[in-house]
Amino acid sequence: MARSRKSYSHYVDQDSLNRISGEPLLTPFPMEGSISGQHRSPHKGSSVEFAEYREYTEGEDPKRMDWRVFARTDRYYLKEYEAETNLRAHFALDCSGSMNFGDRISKFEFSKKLLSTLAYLYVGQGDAVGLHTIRHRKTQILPAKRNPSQIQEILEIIGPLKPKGETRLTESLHEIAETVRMRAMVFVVSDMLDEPKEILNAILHLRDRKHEVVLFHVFDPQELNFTFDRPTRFVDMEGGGSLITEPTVIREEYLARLNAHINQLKKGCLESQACYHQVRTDSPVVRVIDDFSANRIGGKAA
Amino acid sequence: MTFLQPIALLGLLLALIPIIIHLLNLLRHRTVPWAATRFLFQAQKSSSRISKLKRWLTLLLRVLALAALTFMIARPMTGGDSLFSLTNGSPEVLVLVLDRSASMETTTEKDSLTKRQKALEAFQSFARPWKESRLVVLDSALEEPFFTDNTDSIKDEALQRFFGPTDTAADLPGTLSKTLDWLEETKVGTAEILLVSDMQSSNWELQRNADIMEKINRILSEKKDSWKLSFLNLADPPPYNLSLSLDQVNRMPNMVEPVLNLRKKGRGKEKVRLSSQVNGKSEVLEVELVSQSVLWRPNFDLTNEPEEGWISILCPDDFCQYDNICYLTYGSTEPPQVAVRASNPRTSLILRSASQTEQSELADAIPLSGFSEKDLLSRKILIHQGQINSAVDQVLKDFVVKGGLLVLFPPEVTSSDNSKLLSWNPLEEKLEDETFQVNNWREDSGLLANSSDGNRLPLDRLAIKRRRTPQQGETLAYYSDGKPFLSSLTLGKGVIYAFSTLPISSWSSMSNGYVLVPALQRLIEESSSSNSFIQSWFCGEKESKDSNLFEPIGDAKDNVPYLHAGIYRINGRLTAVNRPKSENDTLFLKTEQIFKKLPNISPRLFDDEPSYGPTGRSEAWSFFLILCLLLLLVEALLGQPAATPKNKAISNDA
Repeated sequence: MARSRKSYSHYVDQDSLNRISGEPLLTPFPMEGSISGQHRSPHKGSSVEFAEYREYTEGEDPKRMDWRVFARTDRYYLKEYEAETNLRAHFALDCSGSMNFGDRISKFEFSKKLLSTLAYLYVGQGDAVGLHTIRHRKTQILPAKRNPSQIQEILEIIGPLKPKGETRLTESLHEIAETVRMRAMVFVVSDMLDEPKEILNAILHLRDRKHEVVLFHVFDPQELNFTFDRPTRFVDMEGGGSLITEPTVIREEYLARLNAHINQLKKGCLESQACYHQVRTDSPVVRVIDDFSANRIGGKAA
Repeated sequence: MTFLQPIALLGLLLALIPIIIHLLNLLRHRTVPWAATRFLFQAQKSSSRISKLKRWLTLLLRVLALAALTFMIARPMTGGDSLFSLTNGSPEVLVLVLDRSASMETTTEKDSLTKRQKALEAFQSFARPWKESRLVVLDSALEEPFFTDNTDSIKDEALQRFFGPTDTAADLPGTLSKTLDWLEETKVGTAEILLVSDMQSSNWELQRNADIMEKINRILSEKKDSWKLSFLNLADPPPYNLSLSLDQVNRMPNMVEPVLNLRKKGRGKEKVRLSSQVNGKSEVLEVELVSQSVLWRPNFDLTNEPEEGWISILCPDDFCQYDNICYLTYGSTEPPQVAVRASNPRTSLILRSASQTEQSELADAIPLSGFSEKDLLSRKILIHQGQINSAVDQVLKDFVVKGGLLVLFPPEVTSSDNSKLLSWNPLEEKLEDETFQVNNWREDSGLLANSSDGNRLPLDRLAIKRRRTPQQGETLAYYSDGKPFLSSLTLGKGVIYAFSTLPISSWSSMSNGYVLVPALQRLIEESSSSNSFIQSWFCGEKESKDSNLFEPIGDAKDNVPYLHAGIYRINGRLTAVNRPKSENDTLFLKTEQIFKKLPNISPRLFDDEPSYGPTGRSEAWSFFLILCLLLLLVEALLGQPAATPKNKAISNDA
C-alpha cells in the first residue's frame, strides 16, 4: 500500500513568488558554482561581462588574444571576461524549543515559510539549495542540489518537524563552516537565544570560509513589546526553569537586555560583513523577502 | 482626635484591599511558556532595588490613600486629648457651669458685655461643633440643670431668671460637684463641661472646699475618657471701680446711721456724689474719699418718716454696677434689754454702769441664785461674770442659740467645773510694776473698731495685771504674747463675747471705761437696731431661697429675693436683701491654682477669642482629603514609567 504523502507546499509563500519571480536574487560576494549561472565567480570565464586586459604569456591559448589592441600597440594582450556561476545556498534552521513560541503563528512555523519560499526562489534561478536542521542532539544535513525536486525534499524534511530541546546553534554553525567546502551562501533562521559572542564567533568562522552569511533573527511581537500587565509565571521553553514575576516591574530591564542583545548581534554582523535581518512573525513573509532582496534583485548586488 | 462618624472607621479594613489584591494577583498568575527567559532572568536579577522599593511604596501609598479616605468619611475632629479616642464626636451632653455671682456683672473698657454675657457667648461657640448634643446649663445661683434646645435661647429675655444677672455669691466647687452628681444620676455617657467664672477667690474657697475638689478630681479621673472639663477664666479686673457695702446700721431715735464701707480702685482724693432713697424719696449725698477704703456714717433723719421703712444708697455708675448699691431697713427703736449677772459686786456695778442706756438707767442686775430661763425672757444681752455651773450653762446656751448676745468675763477663782459654753485658762498674774499689754485688735469693724472720726480705742494703754484667757472662739484682740484679750464665738443665731480680764482695779484698768464703755455700747446699739418687724438678709442665702411669700418694694417687680438685692416684704416683714459680703473680694485665682487641685485630670483651657475656636476643635476632613489626593498623586507618579527610550518596545528596524 502506497504511503500517503502529506503536501507541505503551503509553506511556499505565493505572494513572495508573485512579487520576486523572474528577478534573480544576487549575492554581493563571488560564488563558486559547478555550472554557469547568474552569480559572480572568483574565476575568469566566458561570459559577456568584460573583466580586464592581461599580457599574453607563452603557452596560453591565443584564441582569446585581442587583435585590435595588438594592431594599435604591437603587443599581445588577452581579453578576459567574468565567469558566471550558480551558488549554493545552505539554510540552517534552528529547531530548538524556544522556536515554538508564538501567539498566532510560532516562530518556527514562520521560519519554515521563510525558508521554503527562499529555497524555492533560489532553486528557481538554478542555484543549489541545501538544508541543515539544527536539532537538540544532532544536525540533519541535506546536501545542496539544484534539482527542482530538492524543494520537495526540503519541504518533506521541515514539514513534520517539531521544535524542542535546547539550542545548538553556534555548534552547528561551526559544523557548517567546516563541512561546506565551496563558497556558499549560509542562511541562519533562528531566534538567536544564545550568547551573542558565540554566535558572532560562528559567523566569523563562516566568513573565514568565504561564505556569505545572512541572519534572520526571528521574533514574536510579544517578545519585543512585553506587554504583560499582571503577575505571570514564565516557563522556559527549553527547560530552563520558570519565573514568577510582575511584568510591569521588570519590563524596562527586560527590554533593555533584549535591545542590548540585538544591538550586539547587529554590530557583530556589520563588522564581519554578515547580513542581519530582524524578522517579526506578524509581518508577511513577502515583506521579509522584499526587505532581504532589496539590493539583490535585477543586477549585480552592491 | 475624635470622629463624628466613628462607625465609618470600620472602613479601615478597606485599606487591606490593595494588599489582598496584590496577594491574589500573585496567586492568580497565569503561566506563559516563554522563549527569551534568559533576558527575564537577567532582568529579574538586576531589577533594581529601586523598582522593588517603588513597588512596595506604591502598595503602601494605595493602603494609606484608602485609610485617609476612610478617616475623611469618619469626619475627624481635631483638638482631642488622645490621637484616636474612638468616641462619637458629639458628646451626649454639653454642660455650662455658669458662675452667676454678682461679680460676673463686671464690664471692661474693651466692650460693654458683662462677664456673664461673655460666658453665654463662649458657650455658644463651645457648643457649635456638637450640634447633636443636648445642652444643659447649671448656674451657681439656682444649681438646677436647665435644658435648652439651642444656644440662642440662652440669650432670650424671657429666660433672664435662669441666665440673667444676680446679686448672689457662688460656691463653684459645690456647683461643679452637683453637676457631676447630676451627670451620674442621669447616667450620661459622654459630656463636655465648660466652667466659666471670673475665678473670684471667695467663690472657690479652695482650702475650705478641699474635700469637694478631691471628690471632683476623683470622679473626673474615673470618667477621664467620657467627661471632659474645660475652663474659661474671665478674671479681668475692672479698670475703675467704687464699691459700697453696708457694715452696720445704728438705729437712734428719729435717726438711722448706717456704717458704710466705701472702697475705690485707684489712689488720690476724690469727691463722690451718691444718691440715696429714703422710702422712695431721693436725696444726694457727698463724701470725700481720702483713701482707698473709707468708713462712712451718713445720718438719715427720720422725723417725718414712718416708724418702719427702707433706705437705699447708690454710687455713681462704673465698670461694676453690681457693687454700687446697698439697702437697709429700719424699724421702731426699742431699748435693749441688758442684764448683768456678776459674782463680784464691784464688777457688777461697773458693768451695769458701762451698759447704761440713753434713758440713764443702769442695766438690770440678775441675782446669782435662782437663775432660770424666766430671767432672760425679754433680754437681748446678758453680761455674765463668774462661775457657770451646769444648770446655768444650759440656760445660757439656749439663750444664745435663740439669738441672744452673751458677754462673758472670767471667774475670779479657778475651778474644775468648767463651762461647756466656754473654758478659761488658769489665772495669770504680773508683778506689781509689770502689766499685760494688748497690742493688736480689729480696728475696721466689730466691738473694738475705730470711732467714726477715725480714732483708735486705747486698748494699748490698758494696764492688765491679771488675766484668764478664753480657750475657744475667734480672737478679736491679742495680747503682745499672742493670747486672746477678747474672743467671739457664734452659737446658733447668737454670739458669745469673752473678755479675759475684769474691770476692777485688782485686775485691770478697764474700769476707766475708755474701752469697756464703747465696746458694750456698740453691742447694745447693734442689738437695738435689730427689730422684730424688719430684717436684713444676704442674697442667695438659705433663708432667701426658702421664702415664698415676698413682694418687691420699688420698680423691679420681677425681682426675687434669692437672686436680686433689693427691698422686699417677706412674710409681712420689711427685708433688706444685699449682695453677700464675699462678693466684695478683690482676690482672683489663677486657673493653675484650680488645676493643682485636680491633679489626676488635665482640664482644658477654653479661650473665648473668636480666632481660637471652640477648644481648638474643628472638623479635619479636608486635611485627609488633601492627604488622600496627594497619596494618589504620588502613587500615580510612581506608577509612571521613566520617559526613556529603553521603555519603548523594540521596533523592527530590519
